[in-house]
Amino acid sequence: MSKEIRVNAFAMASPVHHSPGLWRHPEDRSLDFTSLAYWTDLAQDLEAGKFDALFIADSMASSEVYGGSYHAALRVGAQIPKLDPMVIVSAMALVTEHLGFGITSNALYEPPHPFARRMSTLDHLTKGRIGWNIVTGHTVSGARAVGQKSLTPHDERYAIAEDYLEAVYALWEASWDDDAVQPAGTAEAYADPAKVRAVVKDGPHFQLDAPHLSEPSPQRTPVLFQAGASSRGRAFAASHAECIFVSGPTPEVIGPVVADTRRRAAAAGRDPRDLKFFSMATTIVGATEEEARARLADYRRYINPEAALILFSGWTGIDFSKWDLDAPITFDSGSQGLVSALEAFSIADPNRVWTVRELAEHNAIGGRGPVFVGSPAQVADQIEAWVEATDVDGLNLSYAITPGGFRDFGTHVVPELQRRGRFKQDYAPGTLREKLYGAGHARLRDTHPGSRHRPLSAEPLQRAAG
Amino acid sequence: MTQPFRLTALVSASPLLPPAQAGAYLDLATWARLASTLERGRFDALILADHQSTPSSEGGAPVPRLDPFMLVTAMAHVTRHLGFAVTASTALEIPAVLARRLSTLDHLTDGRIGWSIVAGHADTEAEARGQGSGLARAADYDRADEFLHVAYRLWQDSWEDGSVVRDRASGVFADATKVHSISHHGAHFDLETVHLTEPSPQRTPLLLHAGASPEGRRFAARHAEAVLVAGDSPVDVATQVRDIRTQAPSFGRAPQDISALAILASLPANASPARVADHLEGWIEDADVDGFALALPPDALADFAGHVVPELLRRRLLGADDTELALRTRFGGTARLKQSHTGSRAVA
Repeated sequence: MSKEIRVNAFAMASPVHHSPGLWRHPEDRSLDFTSLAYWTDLAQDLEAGKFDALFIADSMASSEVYGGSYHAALRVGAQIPKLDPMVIVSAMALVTEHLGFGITSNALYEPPHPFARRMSTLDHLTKGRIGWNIVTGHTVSGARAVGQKSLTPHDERYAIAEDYLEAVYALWEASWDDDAVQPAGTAEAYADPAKVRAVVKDGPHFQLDAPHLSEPSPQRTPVLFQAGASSRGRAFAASHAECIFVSGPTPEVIGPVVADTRRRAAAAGRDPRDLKFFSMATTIVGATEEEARARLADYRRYINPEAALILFSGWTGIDFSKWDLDAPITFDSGSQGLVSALEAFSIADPNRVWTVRELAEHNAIGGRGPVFVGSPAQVADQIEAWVEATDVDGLNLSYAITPGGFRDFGTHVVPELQRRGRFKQDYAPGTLREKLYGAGHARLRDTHPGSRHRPLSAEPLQRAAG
Repeated sequence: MTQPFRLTALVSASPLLPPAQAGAYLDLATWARLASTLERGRFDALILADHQSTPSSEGGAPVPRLDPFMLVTAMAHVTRHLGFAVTASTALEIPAVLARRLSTLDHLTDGRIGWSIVAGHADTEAEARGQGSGLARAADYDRADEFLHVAYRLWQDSWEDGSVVRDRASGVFADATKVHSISHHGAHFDLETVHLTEPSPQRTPLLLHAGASPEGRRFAARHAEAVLVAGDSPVDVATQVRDIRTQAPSFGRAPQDISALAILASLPANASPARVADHLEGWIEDADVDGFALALPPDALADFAGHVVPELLRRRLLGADDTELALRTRFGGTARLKQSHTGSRAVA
């Protein structure tokens, strides 16, 4: 078949993800985000639609850039409140067999040792279906919530994240041998102490002298997701990420980021095709084009452009409440915020200068990504063209309404893509990483920097004296 | 006549007994089955023990332990009444992160969450017995008090009642003027944030503590709604319970606001259900406890649920099937913290 197109569902445990205002739509279930049944139903819908994974965004930010306070965001539920996505996973895993789960967690907030155990726990309980979306946080409010004095500068955040990864790689890859757990009933101790090692690390930011608390899980290191599109972010992704999330309004924005990151990966000794790119997109599909257009028109009656600006202010660190709606958006290189978000709109696409109003209208459904509208065949055409033009491996599918948007995609677009030989007929067996790289590849590739921790330099724990 | 008592199980997410089933702790189905068994057996809650201390280079391989928080929603999915008390240490967690994690679970379980508070690095049972490494010291309890203060402010004070509107017609999710940023500058924590989740059914999870040291008992008298107490005899347990309850008034609380659960790591071997019921009834009388935390392997818990619980029901020693879902209602309260509890009175 032609290159397979992979699709993740993209969500947040909040009333709003990328289509603010749409929770008002009578068919939308966003407001059920505090109910466990919403999440187990969603997971089952996604598995029925053969989605590769559910990717849940998260942060500790309280959306207080726009207008200088959280008030505007809270009034419309613009990514606040939000739940901790990590604890939702086990219920969804219980009702599914194949669906992967990409969970966002910040490398600058929780210390590496307990975090590594959390991910190993989830990897065990899901039988190897866990991915970690590595973020470094770009908001002052998130930094203050976790007790930091101020926001760490952009490039330094990546340096800290590099040190964090060194720590968690060692815990996941090196602390326990594969055969450390002794066969049941053959020994007094559950694990052979000679095959379990303390991870000794004295890094610039993180120090450790402890063994991992979890025995080896199916994937050991979770599948690593990352979303950095800035220059420093690309360097980080080229080194560490297995799945990379990109977003932008046109292929001209996405394509160069993909090409550049693959080039950097090759320079780092990785196969550039080991990096799987997922481009944010939203689909609105009907039996016919007319039906899809009518549906879009219906959805647009509920959009909230101001809330779209609230979200964009959060991503960029720039208070758009102070901007003239018809002012052109220019790149502010001094911003401590998400530099790449602004780059995407104002620099990388030389063919267009966006005004604030245009941006708000554009982002009101599906955020920064494109919206593909039409019949199943038309939507499939647009997806194929997008993949062709950008060299991405698939989509991070956002929604106008949930779970309807995901269900429509699974019911109408997936069969069309299957007919074209662009979408799997069924799930491949095995872990999330094996579904990406093939049978026998449950663990990190040998070319991945995390694999270098396998023959560990740390000393084995010694047997207890006496 | 003995009043109905509280029944809980105390289990670690570690290799299970018997050894032939040790690895089953890695399987979600094991936990879902345990939760269903406990719910059928009228247990009020499953207390998930935990600690994150690791052996020194002298200590041999660690006993692996999963993160108990990650187990809860799967078990909640297959139950309706069973509560889940999850252990977390104030020495290791970030207040706003833990507060949100517990609020998330309280939402997703419809108010069935408790927090077994550990101030140091040892687990619930070790703290209760005052044995083992990593026991909380006085300095750990200073930090724990401040942690709780911050958590109360996030849970109780950040979102006023009535702040959540969720009105589809107007598009208003919340009345932001009723949602307050919590600003805290203390010796151990310095933060500023709104609580990131709207109020959950209980707001503050049911608070449990096991601490046998003088500082631990004082902390329990101030904060705990249920205390876990271990002792060699009912008299030994009664002494500890009395000490904790006696201190409650100095924190503005009634002694009976604190439920006492005796940790039982074994039951009379080969005894008939009637004998086991006699044994438990004896403990209730002599140890002045309100119930039990049975620290038994899953197989033994299933046996207990199948054989002893019917006898306890015959004797009316277990409450009727509750229709109230919030865990706190099973421990003598309404869904929310009592007004007299220190957490209801947290101020800047």
